[in-house]
Amino acid sequence: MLATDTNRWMSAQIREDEIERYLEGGRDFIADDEIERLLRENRAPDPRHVRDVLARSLALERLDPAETAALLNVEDEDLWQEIFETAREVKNRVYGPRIVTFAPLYCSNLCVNSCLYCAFRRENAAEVRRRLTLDEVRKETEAIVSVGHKRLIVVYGEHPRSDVDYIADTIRTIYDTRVGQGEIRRVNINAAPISIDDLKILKDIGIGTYQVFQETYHHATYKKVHPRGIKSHYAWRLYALHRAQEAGVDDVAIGALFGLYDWKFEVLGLLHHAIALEREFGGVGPHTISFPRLEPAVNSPLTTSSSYRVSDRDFKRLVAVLRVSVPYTGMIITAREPAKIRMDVINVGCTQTDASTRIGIGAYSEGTAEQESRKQQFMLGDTRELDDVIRELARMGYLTSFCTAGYRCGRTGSYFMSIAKEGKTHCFCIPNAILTFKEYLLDYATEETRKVGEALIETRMNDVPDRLKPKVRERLHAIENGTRDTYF
Amino acid sequence: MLSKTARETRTFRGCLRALEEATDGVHGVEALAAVSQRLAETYGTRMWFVRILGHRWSYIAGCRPRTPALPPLERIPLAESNVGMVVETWGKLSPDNRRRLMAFLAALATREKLA
Repeated sequence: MLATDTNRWMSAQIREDEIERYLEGGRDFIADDEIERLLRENRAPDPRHVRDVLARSLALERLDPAETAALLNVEDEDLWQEIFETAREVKNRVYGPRIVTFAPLYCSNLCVNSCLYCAFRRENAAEVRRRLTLDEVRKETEAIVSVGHKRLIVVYGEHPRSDVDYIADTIRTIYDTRVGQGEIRRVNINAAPISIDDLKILKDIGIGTYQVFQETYHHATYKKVHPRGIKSHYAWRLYALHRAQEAGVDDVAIGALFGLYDWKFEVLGLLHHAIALEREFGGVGPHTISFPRLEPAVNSPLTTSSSYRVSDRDFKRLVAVLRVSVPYTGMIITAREPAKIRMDVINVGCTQTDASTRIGIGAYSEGTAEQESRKQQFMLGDTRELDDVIRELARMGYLTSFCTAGYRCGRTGSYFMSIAKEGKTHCFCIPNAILTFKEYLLDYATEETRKVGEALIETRMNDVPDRLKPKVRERLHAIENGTRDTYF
Repeated sequence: MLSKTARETRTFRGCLRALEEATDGVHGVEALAAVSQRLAETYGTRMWFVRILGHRWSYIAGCRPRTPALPPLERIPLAESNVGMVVETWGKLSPDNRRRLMAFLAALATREKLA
């Protein structure tokens, strides 16, 4: 494709009228000065106030920015332990002892943007460029299904060769792929911001969650790290999920790349984003929040030199504060993080994670077990196989859930939010987690994992409401006898 | 003396007339919500409506159960539309009246251009 064609494509992407309609007084909902003021004015919070805020979170109420700012400014280590305990309890009340598991599938690393932290940026000559053909997408899907996954997050660079038509074709291919009884039942996507018309195309083919990360909410930093390309337009990206909701895509996901600017500011940015979505769309906030940290990427010095890189201690704190601030939302910790960190923060609030992760283009089907920096967006911290992760989670008491029931029987958007805000998701999710976990144990698990998993199912049956227990047992027997994809 | 089935049919025809009245002048999602509410009140039926988007069944209107149904949920696409219904319980609706209801809902979905 000629550079002039690419430039023409880029200039046609951003539609100012699909930004201006959401602005208030010509401004977006992130007021940098106001966030900085909240952080300043809530320094050294009174422990009594902190405990009042935590009590509100335990009532499953979403916190206000000033309350979250107070939590972020806690210094006392004992008080942090109370925040961690509250985060753990909030997670248990809303989601129960389960972790939803997925695999990422990178379809393309062609990109028109120039993000200083990303190996996919257009100027990076060290990156080997590739867009999967549909046949290659099918092979990748087969490889992922073969280890037991049921959910995908599919990732695309922003480029005319991975436009909405390509995205739609790849999703159809994934949904059509079967390996024995295995299949992908929910395809979530991480893609560039697009127009409402394009989002309607994705809605019509049945995507799960549409995920767009703002990366940094701090306007000046955003401008600095996104010097060129479509992504340099802050508001086009900020309102991507407003457009998605308007197009009818009712499960949307936000995220920030921690390490570009002050982590406390970014937490408040995420909270403001959740509030803006709730306000505009009848109380429906983000389905999930992600909080990746900067990781080394080939030929991208900012990833190692940023003065805002987040320590392990602060990372755990930010996860816990997000958990208590937005009790209803799912929270995703990925294989960017080393195994020890992942398991540590799962305990303070995460609800989803990936496993057997490969992020090189074509890496699942082409058997590249080793990471290849020249084909990846960044380097992973944890490349363990799904079975290993599941076994470790099971030993920690967590059910691995492959459940996709909610999305296939209408418990989406406002319906999902109403259940989550009442702390009722686990009524559905624990039984469905047990059923999908059982499927995994029978179809894919190693003997060692099966043994640990079966014992865990017996333990977790205690978490199932009494009136449901006989029905869950009945369906477990049906699964043992060959039934698949049964759910409440 | 009417048989039990005949009585049920006659009563349900009355219910359908009430549903027609309840959805007269009410459009789109609101019409579906009105149907769901009326059936819940009259027959104890618990159902919600969705837009069918491939694998995805996306909630649009109707009751929102807070606890799981004991029998398996029924997922029913409405003919000639991309609208479906998920039924947790039919309540007191007999199988014959369920069929009549589905015909009514399919016509409603077409009338409201929900296809």
